Amino acid sequence: MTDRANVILVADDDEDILELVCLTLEQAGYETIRARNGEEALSLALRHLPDACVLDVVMPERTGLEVIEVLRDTEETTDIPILLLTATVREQDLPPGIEKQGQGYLRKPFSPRELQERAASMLR
Amino acid sequence: VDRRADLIGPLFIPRSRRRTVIVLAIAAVLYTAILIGRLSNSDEGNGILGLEVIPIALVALELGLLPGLGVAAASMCAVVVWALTKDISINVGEYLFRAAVYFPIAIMVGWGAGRLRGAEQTIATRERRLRSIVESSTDALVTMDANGRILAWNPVAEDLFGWSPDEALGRDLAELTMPPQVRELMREGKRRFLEEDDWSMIGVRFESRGLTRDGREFPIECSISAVRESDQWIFHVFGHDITERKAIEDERKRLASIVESTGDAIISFTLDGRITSWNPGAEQVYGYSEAEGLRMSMFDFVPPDRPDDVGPLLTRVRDGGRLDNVEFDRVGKGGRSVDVAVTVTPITNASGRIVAAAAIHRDISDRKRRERYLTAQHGATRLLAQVPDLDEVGPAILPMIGSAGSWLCAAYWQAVEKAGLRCTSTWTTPITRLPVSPANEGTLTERREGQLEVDWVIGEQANDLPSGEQAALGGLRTQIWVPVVVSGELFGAFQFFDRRQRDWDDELMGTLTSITEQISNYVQRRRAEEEVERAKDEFFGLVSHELRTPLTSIIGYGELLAESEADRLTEQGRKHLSVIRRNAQREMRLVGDLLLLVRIQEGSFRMELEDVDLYRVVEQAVEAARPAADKRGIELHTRADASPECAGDPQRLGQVLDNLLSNAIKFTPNGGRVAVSLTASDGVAAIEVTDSGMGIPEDEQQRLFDRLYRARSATASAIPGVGLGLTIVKAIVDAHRGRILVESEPGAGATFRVELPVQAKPPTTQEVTE
Repeated sequence: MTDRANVILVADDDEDILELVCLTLEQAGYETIRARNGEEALSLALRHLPDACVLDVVMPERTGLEVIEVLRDTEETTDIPILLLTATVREQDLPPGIEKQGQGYLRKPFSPRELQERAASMLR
Repeated sequence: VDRRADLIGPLFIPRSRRRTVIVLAIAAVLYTAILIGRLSNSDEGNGILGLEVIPIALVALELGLLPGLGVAAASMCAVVVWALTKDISINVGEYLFRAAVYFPIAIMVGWGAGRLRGAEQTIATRERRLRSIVESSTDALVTMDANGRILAWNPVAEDLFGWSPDEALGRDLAELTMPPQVRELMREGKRRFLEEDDWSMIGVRFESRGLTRDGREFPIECSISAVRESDQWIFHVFGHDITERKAIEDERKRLASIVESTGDAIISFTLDGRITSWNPGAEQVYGYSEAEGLRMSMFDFVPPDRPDDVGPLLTRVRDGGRLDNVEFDRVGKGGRSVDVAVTVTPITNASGRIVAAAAIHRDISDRKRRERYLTAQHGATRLLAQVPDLDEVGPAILPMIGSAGSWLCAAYWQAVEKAGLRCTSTWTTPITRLPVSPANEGTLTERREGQLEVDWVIGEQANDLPSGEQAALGGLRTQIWVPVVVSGELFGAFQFFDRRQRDWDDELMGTLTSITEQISNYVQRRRAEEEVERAKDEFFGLVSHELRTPLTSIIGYGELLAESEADRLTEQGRKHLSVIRRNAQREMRLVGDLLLLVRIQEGSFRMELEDVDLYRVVEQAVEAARPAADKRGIELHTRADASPECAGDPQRLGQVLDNLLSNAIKFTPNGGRVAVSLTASDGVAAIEVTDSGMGIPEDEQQRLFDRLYRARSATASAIPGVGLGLTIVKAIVDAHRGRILVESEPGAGATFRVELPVQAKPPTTQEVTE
């Protein structure tokens, strides 16, 4: 690990949850970039090239999955670890291929500690 | 009748010959006496001449003309010779003259008398003979004169008509023995005979009706002979009762008419199957005429795709076996399939050997067809319940209704958006090659010149179907389209073909219509269900997102607050925060339970199976429940006699124990006791959770597992809960192929016992008491 804190892009259209996720990650020592919709998340990600992303699945403008698609197609961000936040309950409602190398999901509601653990393991 | 002569006849000379002998003897004695007289009175030779006349007459009487003449001539010669040789005074010339006068007279008298007697004798004999014929006749014999008066009446006539000879003689025959309609016929016949010399009724046998004394009519066979007797015609009428013969004849006729008129095929055949009789019913059933049938064999009616069943049948008949109403499917003229119920009886010859068989084939095609239609209808219902994809509905049902309707071949066409219809499936009988194939282009592959004789479209939406010309294939004469219309739009269509011209069959059409309606309703229902499914998915999205997102904030911020800001809060504030967090968790669980329940109900509840150490599951659950128990002073006791492993979902099994423990603690009074035990035997692991609570009345025990059911005691004691816990427990246990039992005595606590199938492990006893 370098001295510089890892930067994580967080995108969620729910202001409270965006704040919660960021606070939780900052407590764990990460720097965060906040985005309130998919479009913003995408442009911030491409501009700042964060170390990881935490994206809500259901967002206006672009969904988390659409954002991932662009990120994976872009050379600089193609390997970036991404954690999706989903409120989906049923396995069958999860988008196919949500879980793969460098990519996972976390069901809402989650406990802050769980989020910190997942972030740590993502950036390991 | 001289019966004595008949009885002792052989001991005596028969009567006529005896008399001849006696008469001749007398003649001889007389003649001898004359000769002796002559010898002693030689002068009186001429005087005795007259006496010679008597023996000569007697000889003529008995022996006839010539012997009489002979005796006369001999006598004359003897006298002449004697007179010449002995020289007695006899006038030879005078003697000869007298002899020539007397002897012929004597001969003529004797001969005439003999003839007369002979004639009398002949008549008597003939009469006797006749009488014996009449009396011994088995026929009634009645003689009548030209006026119809009865002259003779034999014993058989008496038996037959009931009248004694005394009563019958002299009466009118027609009045006495004939019913009125016959009387007239008889009188008319007699009149025609007498006046017009019409002999057509005489000497022939004819059938008529007789009438007995007690008024009963009966069939009689008669013949009449006419005899001319002293310027009068008399008639002999012979007759006998033919009631029995008529009855037999009638019965035979009746049987024959049954065979002729029955709709059943009555066929007889030899033991090698060759047909020897073929009634009109057989023509009706199989379509072959008698001439055709008689050239065929029983083997010709076995459907070509069927194994031979006639051979075994013939063997069976040869062994004397019968067949009673056994159903066969046969094939008639023109390949028409016929279902028959067959009864077979062996036919034996005079010596009792089985030489042939007679069979009755009853046409049960209608009934079988109706059965097939019903089966098809039920089959369609069953298939519809199994078919997952709406596009497979038609193809799945096609073979069933194709065979039920005895079609040659059939196709199912699926309505395709904008492209009209596409043939997605075909069906054909096993013995037919289909002229239609599920073509890539979806058209009939083979087109020949021809005209369909029957071309029906059942139901509406006819305009959208391919035209009948397309189906005008070689040999095919009937086509039927049965469209499936869903909500006013064409969904698909069944197409049926047959080589023969089919008559309209209401039942078949009814069946087809009903099946297409069934399909239509099913498709409609499935579409509605899919709509509901979509709505449910939307609801899930709502519950997931709109309910869980705020909870995420509450729980997350609560945790943040408790962990990083707790020291800045007052004691009161920390308490309030913990209430918020606890309730947020409870709500979280409730949402989780609800969602789980919905999943169980819709069948999408899936578990991730792995080897689960049940002891660990129990231990964890007990540890998790301990704070709640401690708080109420409840003793929590665990006893494990085994450490079995089972294939299961550890989280779900944990949920089972959590729910059972939380219930047990909830329903146990402060300071009570809750015990958990884990045992394993015979491949079954049992986890028991026992409390010392108020117990569950028996009538409530089974309803406990119903969704949203809450025990009365729970409601009464205001114990919190919504009634989901045990429902979820049961669903999870069921999914593990286990079972859950409850035992309880009101007031003495309750025991919930969960049994799960396991791979047994060597038992290890562990005991933990708190």
